[in-house]
Amino acid sequence: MTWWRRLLRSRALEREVDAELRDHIAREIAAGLRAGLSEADVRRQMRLTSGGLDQVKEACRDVRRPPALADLGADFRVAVRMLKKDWRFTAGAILTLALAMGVANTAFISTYATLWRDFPFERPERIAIVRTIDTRGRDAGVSYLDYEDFRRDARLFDGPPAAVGIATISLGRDGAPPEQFEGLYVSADTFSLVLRVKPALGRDFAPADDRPGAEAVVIISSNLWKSRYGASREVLGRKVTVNAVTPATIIGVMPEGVRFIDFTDVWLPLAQMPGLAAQRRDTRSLMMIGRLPVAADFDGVRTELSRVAANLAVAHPDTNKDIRPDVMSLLDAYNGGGAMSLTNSSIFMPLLAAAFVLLIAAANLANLLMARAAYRSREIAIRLAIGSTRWRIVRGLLIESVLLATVAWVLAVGFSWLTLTLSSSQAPPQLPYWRIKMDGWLLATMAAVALVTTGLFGLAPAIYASRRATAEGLKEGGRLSTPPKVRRWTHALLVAQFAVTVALLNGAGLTARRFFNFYAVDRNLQTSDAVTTFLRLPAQTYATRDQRVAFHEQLRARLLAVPGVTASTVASAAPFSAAGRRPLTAIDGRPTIDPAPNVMTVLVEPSYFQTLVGSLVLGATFSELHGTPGHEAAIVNQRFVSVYLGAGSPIGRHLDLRPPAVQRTYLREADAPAPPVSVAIIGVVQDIRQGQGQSETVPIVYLPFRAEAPAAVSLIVRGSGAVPIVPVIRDAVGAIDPDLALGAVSTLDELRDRSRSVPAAMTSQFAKIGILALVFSGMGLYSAMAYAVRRRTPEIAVRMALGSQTRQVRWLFLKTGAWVILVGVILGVPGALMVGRLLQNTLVRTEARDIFTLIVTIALLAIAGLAASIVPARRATRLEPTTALRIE
Amino acid sequence: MAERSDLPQGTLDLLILQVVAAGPIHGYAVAQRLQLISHDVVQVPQGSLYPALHRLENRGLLTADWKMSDTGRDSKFYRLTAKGRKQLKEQAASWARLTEAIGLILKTAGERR
Repeated sequence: MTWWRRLLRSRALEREVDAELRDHIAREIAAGLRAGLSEADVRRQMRLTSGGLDQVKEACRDVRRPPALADLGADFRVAVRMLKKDWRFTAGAILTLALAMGVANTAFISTYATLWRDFPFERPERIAIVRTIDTRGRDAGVSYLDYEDFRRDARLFDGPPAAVGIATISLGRDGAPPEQFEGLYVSADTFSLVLRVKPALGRDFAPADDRPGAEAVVIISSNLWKSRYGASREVLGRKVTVNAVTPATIIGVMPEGVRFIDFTDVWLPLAQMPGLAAQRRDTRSLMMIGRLPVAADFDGVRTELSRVAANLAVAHPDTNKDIRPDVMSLLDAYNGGGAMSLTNSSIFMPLLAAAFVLLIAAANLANLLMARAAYRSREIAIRLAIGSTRWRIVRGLLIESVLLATVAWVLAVGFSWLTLTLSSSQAPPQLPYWRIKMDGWLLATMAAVALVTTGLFGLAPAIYASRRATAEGLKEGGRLSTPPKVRRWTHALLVAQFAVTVALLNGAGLTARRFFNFYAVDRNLQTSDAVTTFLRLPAQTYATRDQRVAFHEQLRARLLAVPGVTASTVASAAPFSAAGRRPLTAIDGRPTIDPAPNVMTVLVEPSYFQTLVGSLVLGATFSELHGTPGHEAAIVNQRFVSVYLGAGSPIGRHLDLRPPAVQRTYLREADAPAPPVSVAIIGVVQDIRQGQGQSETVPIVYLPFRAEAPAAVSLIVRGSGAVPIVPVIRDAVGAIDPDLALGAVSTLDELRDRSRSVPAAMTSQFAKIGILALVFSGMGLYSAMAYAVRRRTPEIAVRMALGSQTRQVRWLFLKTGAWVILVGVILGVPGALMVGRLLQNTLVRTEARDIFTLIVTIALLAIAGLAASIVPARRATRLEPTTALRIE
Repeated sequence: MAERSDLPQGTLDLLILQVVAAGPIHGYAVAQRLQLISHDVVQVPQGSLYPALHRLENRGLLTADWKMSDTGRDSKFYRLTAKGRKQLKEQAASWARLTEAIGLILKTAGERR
């Protein structure tokens, strides 16, 4: 009978063996009776030779079962029982492991999502993005004429490269109010040959669509298809007006998840890009993308492209002389051109911190398991004496470890899933293709780590305990004795834990402090009840500056007429958003350094400051006259004053600013760089944050809106909260120009949160890690102290019986705790300083020598540690001496 | 009481196979026969006998049935299988070779001195 069949029939077989043995015994007794012995004598003799019936049965059982599966079921049940009995230990171990793994999982997944994007393209690592860079390090795109030259050389890429140009595109006159979207002009084979992704519905662009004069066709994203056209299949062939002037037909819908470049919803053929044909060779507003040739890598492509670029430099020296190609992988381009890689501290730190927390948790676990092993040495000794093998005992302990690891793993997975779901629903970061997902490999690795950790830390003490469980273990105090070596390990581990915690907590503190300090400037702005949206006035209908100014005056009048609207203003860039820059060529007539610094410039209506910050710090806001010729004025922020102007009143000083050289092609205004304009400073305003990802406040110059009246603006409207503002804005805009599309609407609060979502996330992650480290260390110290108290209870009883005061006894334990904390802190301070130094180079700049934070960290740690030591100590002193003595 | 010798497991298996070869026999009888034939030298306790019998059964060298016995109760009778018969022949031959060799060594080694 095969072993598994024996397993299934085990109960029947058990009965059979029982019957067989009883038969044997009966015969033995019968023979004994015939020989004149009594039954009792026969039985006694049998027991002497064979042992009891149960032992024989046990021997037979061992023969029956396959060695591996023997008693596994029984061991399992025993393990569960033991874990339930010592529930405090079980809970502590599971909690420690689960939290640590959960944190690690969350940290790894977030980092993974930030660094490696989920591109829906075929083999995205072989897609290259090409821009240009000049000898002065200034970057720009690729010009159309250069692109055509690159395209002629068939060896450069695998298939022809494509060119893409970013634009804001509005769609209208298709049954719904006009709306603005992120758009991209693409060459015809962008999707088919370079990205290699097919439309989910309809067709891709054909070469015929990408010819000058061809009828305009549009491909839309799945998002747009759902939000604007209700996911209706009727959308194919639908007529729509692009940018209020161009009739077009929708021919395709891209699959879910495709939003190339980043949040694009509308694609048009490159030939449709206004002014493309008229672009000069040095108008570099496009990006070239191509697939790496089959056997080549990025360096190879760089070399080849440089060769072609060198030829172009010779052929067109006035435009291409210093221009070199800048080749990046798709991933690097999304990660800020390589700024976000694993070596960048700001990404690296939370990951490293999570790793350290894992170490602390592991140390805790080790301590817990060691204490438990020592505590159970008596039980183990008894089991050995009854006849269990060492292997059985070790296996039992291992099963306990596996159970712990499994439960902890399940909790960890659940915990991190919960955290990730909650955090990603709150404020999705403005990072394209950022997808949080539980990675199967990561989960498997975590499970493996959990098993190995508990197995390892459970095994060593298990072997130790089973080896030591001799007669010594059976003695009265045997259960509770720990050799000094083990105790020293415990203390060493605790000291290490506290040292690491000091560093982590300090890092978290520094990060938090910096975050709050830096973003405190946002409090200058009143962000509640304010809404912002984009408006782009198409060049065809608003060709002149005066037309645009008139539009905005009309709009403002209409909006303010609505009850519930308290303020309305317009700016070239909303707060917290990126703004343009222009060269500051002179201050008070004295030239600035060469090349001239590019200062951030925002064009604002006079009501801007009133709407956003109330009053200015100095001077007054623009009047209706400012911005007209002869009345050039500017308002600067406080940072500008401290960086460029120094002491003395800024009012009346003059700045020379050169208007931007590259105009948007569809503005049809002068392409050549204009001469610098001299402006007089008439006011100083508090710092308002523009742009994202900065580590310090930026100097800003505010210019009057009417000086240039750019076509693309942000409209900021503040309401009293009584009436929903968005429909009001839509109506007002629609009343003046029904073809005008509003861009995406956000509240100022949303804009602010999004602009600092990455540093905010990192700060909170770091804070969680620091607190977790503190909790673990506290827990570790607590359990070590509790165990020590339990171990020394008889000693305490004796001491108290002999006349010790409770205070003295308590001090006995506090001493150990205090010593651990002290040494831990001393060892941890250098680590903390090092962490501070590392953090200095990150997104969130910190002061390395922030003594205040260090002191607070140490104080927190000391309080936690002392509390952890006191509680068990107090419990010990409350025991009655006689009870204490009786406790074994 | 005669001296009890401790049999190594392999040897016990061989002896059991030999005893069972004679015909269907139950466990108690096996022990009795071994004790009788060896003049009380080989006394196998239950704790060794039955595990050995079951092991041989699991390996397919013996097969067993429950039949009515002389006591009026059912007993488990073991028989040799073809495989068991072959194993017995091989083991017995091997044992004979071994004992002959040991005998030779003891004789000649003694003479050398």
